[in-house]
Amino acid sequence: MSEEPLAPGTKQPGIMSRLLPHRQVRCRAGVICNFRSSTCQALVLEIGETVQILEKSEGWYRGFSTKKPSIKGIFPVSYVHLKKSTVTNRGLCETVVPLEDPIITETTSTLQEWGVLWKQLYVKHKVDLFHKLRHVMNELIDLRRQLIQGHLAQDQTREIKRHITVRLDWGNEHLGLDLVPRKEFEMVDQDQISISELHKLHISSRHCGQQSTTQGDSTRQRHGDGCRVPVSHHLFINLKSFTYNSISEDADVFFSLYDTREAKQISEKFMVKLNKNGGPKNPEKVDRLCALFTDLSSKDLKRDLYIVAHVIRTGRMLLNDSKKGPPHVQYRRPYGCAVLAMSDVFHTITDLKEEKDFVLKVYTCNNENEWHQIQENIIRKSNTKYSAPSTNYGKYDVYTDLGPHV
Amino acid sequence: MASTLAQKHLRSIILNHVIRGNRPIKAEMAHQLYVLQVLTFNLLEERMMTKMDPNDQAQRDIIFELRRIAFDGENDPTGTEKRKAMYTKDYKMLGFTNHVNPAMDFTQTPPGMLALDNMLYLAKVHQDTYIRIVLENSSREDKHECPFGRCAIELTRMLCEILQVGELPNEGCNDYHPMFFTHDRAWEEFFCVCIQLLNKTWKEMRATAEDFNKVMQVVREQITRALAMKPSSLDQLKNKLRGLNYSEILRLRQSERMSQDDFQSPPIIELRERIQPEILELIKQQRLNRLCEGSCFRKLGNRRRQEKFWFCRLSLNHKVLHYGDLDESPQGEVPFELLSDKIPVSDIKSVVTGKECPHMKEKSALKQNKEVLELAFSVLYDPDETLNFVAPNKYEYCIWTDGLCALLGREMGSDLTRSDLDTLISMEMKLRLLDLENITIPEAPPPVPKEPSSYNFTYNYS
Repeated sequence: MSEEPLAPGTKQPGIMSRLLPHRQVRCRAGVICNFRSSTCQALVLEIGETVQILEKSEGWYRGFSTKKPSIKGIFPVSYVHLKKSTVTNRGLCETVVPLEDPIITETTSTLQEWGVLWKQLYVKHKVDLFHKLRHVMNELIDLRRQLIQGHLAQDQTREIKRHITVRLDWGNEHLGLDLVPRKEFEMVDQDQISISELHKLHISSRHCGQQSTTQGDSTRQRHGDGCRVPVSHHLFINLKSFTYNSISEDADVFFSLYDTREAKQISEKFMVKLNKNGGPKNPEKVDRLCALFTDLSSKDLKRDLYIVAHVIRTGRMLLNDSKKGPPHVQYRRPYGCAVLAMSDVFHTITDLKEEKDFVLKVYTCNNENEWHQIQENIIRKSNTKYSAPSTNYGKYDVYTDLGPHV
Repeated sequence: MASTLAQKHLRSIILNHVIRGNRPIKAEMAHQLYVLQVLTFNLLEERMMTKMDPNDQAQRDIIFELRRIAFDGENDPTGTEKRKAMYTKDYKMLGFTNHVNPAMDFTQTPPGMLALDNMLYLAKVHQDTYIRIVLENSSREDKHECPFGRCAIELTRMLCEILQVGELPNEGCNDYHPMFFTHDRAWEEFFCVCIQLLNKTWKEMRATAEDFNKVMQVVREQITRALAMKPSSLDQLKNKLRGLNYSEILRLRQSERMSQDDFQSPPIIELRERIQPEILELIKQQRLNRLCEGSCFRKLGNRRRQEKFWFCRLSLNHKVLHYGDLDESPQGEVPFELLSDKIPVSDIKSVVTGKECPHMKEKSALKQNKEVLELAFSVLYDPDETLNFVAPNKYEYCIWTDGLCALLGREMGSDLTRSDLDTLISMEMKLRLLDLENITIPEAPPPVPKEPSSYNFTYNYS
């Protein structure tokens, strides 16, 4: 930072000197020499410490050490070296962050964190890990230095970053620290990424971490989709009506998203409680039988997705029970299932934000032991295994209002 | 010109009789050679400071000539208008920054027209090399092509800086390069060698256009180091440069980085001394922890056939030393209950080692064994008793002697303590100084300014 002259002020003591503008500086600095002085309000500083500066006046800075932020004092300008920083969230809760490659910042803080644990390893006599970690730490210090000096071409810089992240992950794992989810070698910002994406990143980086410890230095690409910004899609489902005749029993309908290729459900189940007339059990929810399936990535939308609705009724054991009158015991019994292919949805809507009504037919199982895969049978149209309910019970329609939201 | 002719003869005379002559060159002669070299290079200054005139047809013809030598097999001086439009593509392949009007690239001085002169020399005198370089880089599609034009211009400027073209000779300097006296067109030849070096280094670094400055940095280092070795001819220069390829530069940089951690400046030494007590405390804790785990020792017995073991452990409150015989070597933790004897630590008077140990002073065959002597230590306790140890190895010996000294409040003096201290402190120093990477640390503490006249530092949040 260049030294700007203070605005012209008089040298008269008293009131006028109080009007000397103290320049606001606000950045981080590294202490380059030990400082200890009897000057009033002077801080005691050790070489290598980091300070945050608040103001400047007459060759002195006022600020605090990041080790003890509550103690503020003054120290000479010549004893610190300013670092380019950015200030975010100006005001009482502002944060000052040094301007450097995030990998360098991460490496610095991780090394300092490990330093404390490394000494504990020494005291507890964990000789093997102590020596390995020392080796890795020295390696990281050197790699970080190379990045800071910035003499390398882009290809090699990428290689160094990859090397650094492999080592950081190794150390974090062996010290039992949190694993860092990464995209393009950098820590992802939790506020900028969806939860399912974060989970997938964790899994893949964990997998990569294990790979590299067993195979030595493998040059595995971490993520396929490089720098594209992840887009989340959300699916809004609204159950408008459930028409059926004469079951006269309460029923629960469970909606979920199902992937046929992997033969598994990929979302939670959304439950709708219905009374014997087909309306919602809770009268306040007449128009609000809806759910939002969130955080679908673009890859998810390309899967063979189906919306599957399972209907479970509560009542008699068998539907064709001849006994009339209220049963003694209420059984939860599987009733039927309805599916809707997402591909059909996409074909009929032109704009992803469109809302459209769909009718889903409910089919029952011929054989109860096929219940667990009734959705598969319906999807694959294995006609023998399911059937439309017999005309005794009429047609069962489920209206849904689908609006994929981006 | 007459002066050039005269120079030619002069050059070969100087080369054969002075530089390569039988008599060693003394300081005065060296100074004269240096002055001659400087003045010769200063002749380049005029061209270096000449901007290209984009409207001057003769100058633009030189650029056409460069293009023609590289791309046109047949001689076609009367290019049609249509052809001229294609030239833009050629100029891009030639690596000019301004494809449409390459003349603009030469309007910055230095290096001015000197760069164009160099390029033309290369194209005419070393035609094959020129064509090879241009074609090699124009056929790459992967963004790793080395832009010949831009490189040649930048290289010329760099060489002018390195050789201090345009500066007056220094009175006290005797530094001359014999290599420049070996050829009539030494400067141009030097350029040709360097442009090939640049091309090679670019490939070795797998550089792209954004890495241009970094490549130039490396090339500058290569040339400077090679010149410092005072090659006697251009061929020797080529040899030296071959030895200074990119991996060699990386290796040299790495050893510089390694030596950065030799902390010698006073404020750092002060910090080191300040940290030392903390670290010694850690070492002490580690030793005492090990003593609390305990170790197994062999008894020195007369009967060699029967191996006898005994075990010693420090109590967890560090107040009692428990020990006892064991029938066999222990497989895990040895509980305190098994150890029948004990010594209160407060009774311990001192610890002795080696020859001073009572069990080493006995005349027995074992005393002849030097190894055992180095592993022996004894605890002397009230009233006049000793507990004699022979450590199983050097490591255990250090741990136990250090631990026992620590219990007695004495300094731990083993080799192991010294090396542990070194390991721990050097890492601690590196971690503390991480934020000062690339920042010069002053040798002496800077002066402390006088107190500020007003302590009314106000903090304005706006």
